[in-house]
Amino acid sequence: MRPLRRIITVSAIASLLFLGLVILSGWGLSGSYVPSLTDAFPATLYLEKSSSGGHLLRSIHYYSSSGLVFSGFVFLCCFYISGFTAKYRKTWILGVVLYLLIIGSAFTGYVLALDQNAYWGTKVRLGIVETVPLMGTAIADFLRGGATFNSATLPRFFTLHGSVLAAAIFLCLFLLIHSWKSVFIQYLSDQRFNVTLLVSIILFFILIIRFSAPLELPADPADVEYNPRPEWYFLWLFQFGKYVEWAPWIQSGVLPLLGVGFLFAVPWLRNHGQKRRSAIAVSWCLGWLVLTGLTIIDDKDLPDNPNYSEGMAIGAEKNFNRLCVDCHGPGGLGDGPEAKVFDLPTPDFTTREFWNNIDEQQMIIAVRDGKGNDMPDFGGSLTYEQILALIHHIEKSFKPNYQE
Amino acid sequence: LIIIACAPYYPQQMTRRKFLQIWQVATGMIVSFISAPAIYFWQTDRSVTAEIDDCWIDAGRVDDLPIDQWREEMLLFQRQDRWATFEQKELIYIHRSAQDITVFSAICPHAACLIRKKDAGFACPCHKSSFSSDGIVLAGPSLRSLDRLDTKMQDGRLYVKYEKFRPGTKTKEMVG
Repeated sequence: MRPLRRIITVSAIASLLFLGLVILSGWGLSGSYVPSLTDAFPATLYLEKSSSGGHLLRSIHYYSSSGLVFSGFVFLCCFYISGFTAKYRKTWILGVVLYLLIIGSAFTGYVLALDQNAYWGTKVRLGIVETVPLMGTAIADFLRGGATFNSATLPRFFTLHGSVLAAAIFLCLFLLIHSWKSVFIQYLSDQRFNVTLLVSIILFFILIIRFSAPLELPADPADVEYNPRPEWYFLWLFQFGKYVEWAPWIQSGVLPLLGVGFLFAVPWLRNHGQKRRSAIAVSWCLGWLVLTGLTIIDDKDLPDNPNYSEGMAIGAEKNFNRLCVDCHGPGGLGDGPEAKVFDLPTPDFTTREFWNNIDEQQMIIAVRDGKGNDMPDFGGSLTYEQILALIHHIEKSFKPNYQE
Repeated sequence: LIIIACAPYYPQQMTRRKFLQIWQVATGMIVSFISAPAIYFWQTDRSVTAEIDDCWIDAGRVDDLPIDQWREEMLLFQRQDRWATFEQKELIYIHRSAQDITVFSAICPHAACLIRKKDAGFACPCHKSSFSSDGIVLAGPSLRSLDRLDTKMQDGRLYVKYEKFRPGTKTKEMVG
């Protein structure tokens, strides 16, 4: 009994800590984010690459939410095994509601970055919502503001993520903390506890700095080859969906109804004793592990989706071959077929002399606005980011003694 | 509202428990009352589909289309959605025979993935639905055949009325 009680306490405190981190970093992020189809990705990219603290904020938000899903799960699991559910009904129900709200926040927050994974992943999820029996399309249309992804979709998801669900989470949190006030005060007045808490926050920050939240290329609704992949805690559902493709309502109707119904009914079910409860919890976890493992095995042959920098580098190589090779040549020597035919004075990228006489800014302007009568301007067909990536590709491939 | 809701109880003993119960009911009523306009707005505010009627998109010269051959074509057009205008790219499949032209939307009618040309017909990579060259379902979970798009010819050019239909349903319901 004793270690179980300790796990419950630790996971509850960890959940509160993660929740605090998620909320505060979310407030930070919303300081420079716009929920619009055209601006959401550039705003996210700005946060990630150009702003001074946005990168850290995104990491904190991303990893704390993952941590929250995990610690919340551990808490619910151990609370269930301990059998406290009958004694503390209110705590259990509030905990389950809070957990569902957190999952809802994860669902609505997923789309906001509007990169490839966000767009396609949300499309798949809304597709699952649409298969909910009877009211699926009504719910999906309500969330999207139409039958397809449209200009009201992001504002709605942003509102749900940042206001509606957040407010509901605050309410649950208030009620929970209120009923366990004395316990919290007891912990917070313990010097050792406070030091441990502070140290774990600092450790978390140090760990987070080394990692970054994923960001892929901007969403492209015409990309046929893209395979979205859900977060680790949704992998099991993704795998389960594959087995019941013939009857999607099992995944979207029966399963949630049984699962959520069970969670809400737990305090009123006959108490079987701890062994039986442990067996049930362990078998649920095993099922989760097996399904998650199966997805990973299934997906191991799929190519990894490139992140933003890799994707831009691949795009830059394609753009070079499509737009530049005709004159500048595949080796960058300035010996492309068109340059030869029209006898153009195309520079040789492999010489030291070329790079001594030009800087990055001049190259950007040359690509964007063209140069003289011979080099056309690409400002209309390439974005600033693409031009930058193209120049880096040229530098990397042809510049003598190039160093990162 | 709280006072009105409490009124009948006043003559009797007013316990703390009873007061809290009434208070909870009253708060619930007030919250649902004041959130109704917001929910009503979300429910009724839908992306506009009405103007699509005169939205014929140029798909190139008819004479450029090879006879008895499937061709993949990307339609580029502007779309108006509420306050915003977007550049839209949509894939279609065109087949020209001696008599007429058939155009299929490349969006799978099952779960809105993009179908691909395969052998004589079409196949969807997501859930393995396959379709014959007339768009009829041969295998897989799709409930209806491929969505055929309306076409018209004017001055030797082909115009396609690009519409989207709700995926996963048996009937073809236009959604945008």
